[in-house]
Amino acid sequence: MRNTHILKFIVDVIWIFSFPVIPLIIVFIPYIFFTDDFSGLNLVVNGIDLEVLDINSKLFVAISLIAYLAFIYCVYRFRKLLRYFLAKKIFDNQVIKGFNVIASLLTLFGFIMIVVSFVSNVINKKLEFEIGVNSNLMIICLGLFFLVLSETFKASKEFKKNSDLTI
Amino acid sequence: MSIIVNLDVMLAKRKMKSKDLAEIIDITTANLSILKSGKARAIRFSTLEAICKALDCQPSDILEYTED
Repeated sequence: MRNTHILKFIVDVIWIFSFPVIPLIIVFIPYIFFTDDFSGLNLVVNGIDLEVLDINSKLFVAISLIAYLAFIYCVYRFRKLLRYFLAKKIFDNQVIKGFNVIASLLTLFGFIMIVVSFVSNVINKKLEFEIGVNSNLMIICLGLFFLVLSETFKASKEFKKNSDLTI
Repeated sequence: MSIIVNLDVMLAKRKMKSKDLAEIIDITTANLSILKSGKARAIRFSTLEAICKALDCQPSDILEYTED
């Protein structure tokens, strides 16, 4: 239980620092498409320095920001899960659903980011083959890990039900 | 499920109340109710033994198999 408290604290800190960024991102996404000059802002999104952007780069940045919003939502859902854990409601349906939502979002946005960065590279004629572990691949792995957790908890819930109904 | 629990019948035969049986075999009335209603997924040998001892009967008097 002590580990859960530590984990909850870490996730809370991440959430507190991420939360104020949400409205900024929501405002910034439409703003990208209405302006061309970002030199005053000095922003870097996923390695792209936002100074002067063409429409493809804008699209890439917008998708990156949406993916970041999805990641923040995953942190929010994970906080909720940890609250259930601390309340000892480990086999609640909401826990299984939460794991499923996190898994789906991480996997989906991991794939989207890989596709978008590949297309972006092709459009910018920088066709290069990168071998190794990159952050998008790690996000997909994390998503799949949460999917396994969701299935494990679903099976555990059934075992618990059987155990509870063994008289 | 094709296993039927005839605990009600045995309790009636022995003129014993569920609450008394629950007390004797040391399980909660809620669990005994689950057993009686057939919602139980499994029964421990120790529970079956205690029930048989309390009702002075055989496991076959309590459990019955019928085809679905």
